[in-house]
Amino acid sequence: MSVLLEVRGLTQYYRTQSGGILRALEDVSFSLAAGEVLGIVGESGCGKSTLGRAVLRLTEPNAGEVLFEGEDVLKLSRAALRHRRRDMQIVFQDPFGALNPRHKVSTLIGEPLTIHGVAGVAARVAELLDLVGLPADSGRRFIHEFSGGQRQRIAIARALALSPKLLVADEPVSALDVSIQSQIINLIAELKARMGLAMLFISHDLSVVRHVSQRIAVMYLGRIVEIGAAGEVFERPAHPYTQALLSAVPRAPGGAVRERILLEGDLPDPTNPPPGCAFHGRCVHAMAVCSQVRPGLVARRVGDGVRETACHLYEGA
Amino acid sequence: MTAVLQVDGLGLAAGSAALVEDVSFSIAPGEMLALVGESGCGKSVMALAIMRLLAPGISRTAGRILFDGVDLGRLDDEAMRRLRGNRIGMIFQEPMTSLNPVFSVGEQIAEVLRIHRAMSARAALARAAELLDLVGLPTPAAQLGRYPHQMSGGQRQRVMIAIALACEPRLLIADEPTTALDVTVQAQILTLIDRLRRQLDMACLLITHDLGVVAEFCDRAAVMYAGRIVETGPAEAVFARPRHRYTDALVRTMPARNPPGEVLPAIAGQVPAPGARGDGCSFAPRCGAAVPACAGRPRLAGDGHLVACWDPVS
Repeated sequence: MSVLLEVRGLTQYYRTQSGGILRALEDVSFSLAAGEVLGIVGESGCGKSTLGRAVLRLTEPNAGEVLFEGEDVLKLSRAALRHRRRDMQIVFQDPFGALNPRHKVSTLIGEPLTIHGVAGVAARVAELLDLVGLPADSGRRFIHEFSGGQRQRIAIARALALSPKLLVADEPVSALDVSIQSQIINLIAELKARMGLAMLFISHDLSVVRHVSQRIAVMYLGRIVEIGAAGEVFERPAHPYTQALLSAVPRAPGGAVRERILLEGDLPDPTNPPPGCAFHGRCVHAMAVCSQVRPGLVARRVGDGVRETACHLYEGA
Repeated sequence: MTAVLQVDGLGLAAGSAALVEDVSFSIAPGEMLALVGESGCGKSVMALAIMRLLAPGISRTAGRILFDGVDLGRLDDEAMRRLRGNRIGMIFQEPMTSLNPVFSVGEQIAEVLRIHRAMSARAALARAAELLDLVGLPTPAAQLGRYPHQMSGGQRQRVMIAIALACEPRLLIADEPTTALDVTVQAQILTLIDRLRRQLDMACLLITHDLGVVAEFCDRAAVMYAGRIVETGPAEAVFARPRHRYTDALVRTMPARNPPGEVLPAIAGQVPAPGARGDGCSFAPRCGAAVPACAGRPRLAGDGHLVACWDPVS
């Protein structure tokens, strides 16, 4: 499989109002193959949304490289970046906030085509409406006339208008009711298969991420702490944080009762991260070394296999 | 055992549009009942009706609400005020908007005790520290002087719970208490509520859209659809062996219940708006197993595990 996106050492700092430095992303590296879905999970403040934005250069990262088909997006001129954005699009959690309420749906969906000077806007808009399962007359209506699920269909149609190669989906179904959520998950999966889209699928909902992703990256306080095949990460989580996160998910109705690891305390302050492993203060397995040396995200021996995880419990492979 | 809360045939309407119709349930001391459903099913307006905090324009059209045998509809405003925050505690989804940003956490907990228990400022603060300890905040005495913005979402929700429990209520109403919280914090908060309701023998009404939460923490569940309870019974039975076609479809469509990557058995269409729910079963237009009888309204029937469906899952 060819590599579509290669992210190396991506780092994003923000200055807080009180003058501190908030380390939103620290040295994040991963790769994404064409047509692959990488799920990004973690709790509020772990940096998963910042990661999605930094990859598209909607923020200006402080360090690192974002290689899209081998070309560093962070080094592109404005004009070159605009051209590149045809290939990389984003869908947000709240479609109402992301779509201008004063424009007709046809304008909203057609806007990317107009901006990039693509001919045949009307025909393409009709095609896109059909693609996302909206009635043909939707183009003449306004966003307030649609339900939450339909609005997300419109946002998806707009994101796909230019046939991108990469879609960043930032909590795309989190604002939707359960019965509507599965409609949109099915739609995203179908479009991905049909168009060969690669995706960064960002969500706090682990069962949704498990369902749509081939690989999963788990983030904690701005860093990836574990990354691997979705099945392996879910069935045999290696990092103690991943283990706690997965054990906290309420079991599916009728599912087996399992041991829950209740985490003590809260996420550390991202303007003043603890030394060593950021998780050591809440980790039941913490050793002396964990508060001194930061474990690297490298391939380690975990049981009989090998997993990329940032934890001193496992030796380098 | 007598019920702490008993709701009988309750109807609520906004103008001519019915929001809630013919809803009945009861909760015993120490018991946790979940009211489950999607947006607009009427579950949150139920909580407001119990507290008599309905927005202007929404009124009770039928039925009654008994708290410890007393009809809340017959109480005057002053008597109702004495119940709220005292014998009936409540927590909401967003602790940041429920807490006052300009008062310290200690002052906000103490306020409840001073109003309802006529405690002195000093005694109320001492009790506030005990409550913060009860809800699992570390170094409780040091927390008293902190302000809501200095706390994390999970800590704020613990403070809300401390306020709700300050007067040892007989009934706790929790409306989506963990929806705004992360999953590890959610587990902490629900485990806390679960422990406290047993410890204090408190009846608990949990309002949520999260089926997993219900199956794990509640004794009984009532599933609402379009303003009515369509299925109710022991939580485990309702979700492990759902009988109503809607509950069944909800459980089946959950990603966790399906093999990764497979097409999810989605529920087509959307929830009908109040006023457009029709005369028959409101779920019939979206139901894959509708029969001619569904044009008429099904009644909630059964023994222990009740269902309102003309052709329930067998």
